[in-house]
Amino acid sequence: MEWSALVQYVLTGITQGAIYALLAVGFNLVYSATGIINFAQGEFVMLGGMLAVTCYSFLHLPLWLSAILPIGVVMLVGAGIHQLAIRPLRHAHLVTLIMATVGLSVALRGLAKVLWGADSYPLPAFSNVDPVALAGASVDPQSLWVMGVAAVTGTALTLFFRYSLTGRAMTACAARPLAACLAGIRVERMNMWAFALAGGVGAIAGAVLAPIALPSFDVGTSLALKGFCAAILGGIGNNAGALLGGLLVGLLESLGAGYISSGYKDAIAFLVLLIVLVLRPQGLLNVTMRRDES
Amino acid sequence: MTAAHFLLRLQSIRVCYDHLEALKGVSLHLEAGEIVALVGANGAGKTTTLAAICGLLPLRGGEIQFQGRSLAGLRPDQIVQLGITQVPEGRMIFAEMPVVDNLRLGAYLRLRAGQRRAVAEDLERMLDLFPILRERKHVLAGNLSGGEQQMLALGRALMARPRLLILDEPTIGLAPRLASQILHTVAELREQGTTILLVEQNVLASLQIADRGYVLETGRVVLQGLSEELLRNRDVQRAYLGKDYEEV
Ligand SMILES: Nc1ncnc2c1ncn2[C@@H]1O[C@H](COP(=O)(O)OP(=O)(O)O)[C@@H](O)[C@H]1O
Ligand SMILES: [Mg+2]
Repeated sequence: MEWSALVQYVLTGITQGAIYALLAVGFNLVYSATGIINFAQGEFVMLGGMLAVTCYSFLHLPLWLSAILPIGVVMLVGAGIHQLAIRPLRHAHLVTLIMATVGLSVALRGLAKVLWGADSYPLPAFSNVDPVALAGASVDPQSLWVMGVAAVTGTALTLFFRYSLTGRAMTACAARPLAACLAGIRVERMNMWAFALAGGVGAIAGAVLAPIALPSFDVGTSLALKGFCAAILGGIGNNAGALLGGLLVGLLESLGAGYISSGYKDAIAFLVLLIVLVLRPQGLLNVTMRRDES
Repeated sequence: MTAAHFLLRLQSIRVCYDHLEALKGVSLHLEAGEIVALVGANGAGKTTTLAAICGLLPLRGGEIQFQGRSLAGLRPDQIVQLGITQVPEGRMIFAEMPVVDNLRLGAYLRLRAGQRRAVAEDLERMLDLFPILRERKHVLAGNLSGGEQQMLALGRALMARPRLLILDEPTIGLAPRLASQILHTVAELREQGTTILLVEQNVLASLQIADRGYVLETGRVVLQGLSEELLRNRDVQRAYLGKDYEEV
């Protein structure tokens, strides 16, 4: 076994894992607030990437602006989805709401195909420098961007939920919607913010990933499934778990592709999900139990 | 006395859950500075009445007025803004947050309105009022005892500076000594000018601190009057004070 190859697989795994962790955080944001698994989370990432590419290649905006602008746009998409699709269904069964997000995911993918066609688009790396050598492997600078951006995003969200008034109010709504409502907090408003933040986190992942994996209209599906695996693996609703789950899925996938066969790359994440669901089915059952108690 | 004198007035309100009519025309009122007890058996509709006041359930009929103004069409947060705060049944503290954060969230709308200094002062006052909470200020609320949680729920509601404080079974599940301590605090709050609507299972204890009371039975007010009248009433004694015919 070659040492440098292992290092390379681990680096790739951590990079992918950081993206999956961001997806898992997106799932957690919506789940904690509403109990919904938002299957459009992958499309938020796709939109982030496609919009970054559009800003850069078609509108000729500077790269930094092209990476940041989509965050705001996809936050609006998230908020809009809540206001137009989720809120009107607030008295519906939770399963109905989850099905609605599946529908939205298909719709967003279709819209993206109409807008951008079936092509993949390139985005230049954020830093125009050569790969760094590390223990015989080479570290792509964009990988460092991915890891750094994921770490900053996670830290910022943690601080937001712990110290800001809106963050505390969102936490209160997620835990005790009735008590939060009686304190004058608008629960629906906070849920809208949860969707907006999920959109923002998705767009961040999409933009930072774009230089590594060229975005196209259909990248959301498999990203969402991996991110979902990560969220379930770490314990849905738990952001530390999202990081752990993301890294685990990323590493298993990368090591599996390297040492077993790249053909099994995707299968590995789903195998992990299956094993987790068999061993800890309560992870999924929680989804339906949560609403009933509130 | 004209309607304008009432702080809160419910006029034959009706509330339904799907097909079940939980309130079949409930009327009651509170004057400023009163403690009014709302008592009745389990399932009588007490919590439903409070939910309707706070804008959590739509009315099928009747009207609720606060300070002479109809609450129809107002959102729960707008009702809190007007000065009505409820301590819900079962306390519902934010278990995963420290005690101070629970208290601060009680003042959410005031913090939103930029009253940071006044809220900080009230926080200190609340910690003086409940010294046990000061000791446990940074403890996660879920780790407090039942009595401490009830005090926290009360403190959280007071942080909104309500004109009308609504309490849904604040002493349930508490040891008698703690229960009377809570009710004593409630009586003190009235001395400081807060109007209180108190829902209690403990009919004797609540009527002892209340000025007036209403007895609710399957969605209707079946008795009302001054507390001492109700305490002397035979039906009340039999149904709620556990006295049987001979004693009466
Ligand atoms: N969420 C609900 N859905 C359907 N029925 C309810 C609900 N909440 C209360 N009820 C019914 O409404 C009636 C009044 O309940 P409630 O107001 O909780 O009574 P109380 O607080 O006096 O014990 C009861 O018959 C109860 O079963
Ligand atoms: Mg009740």
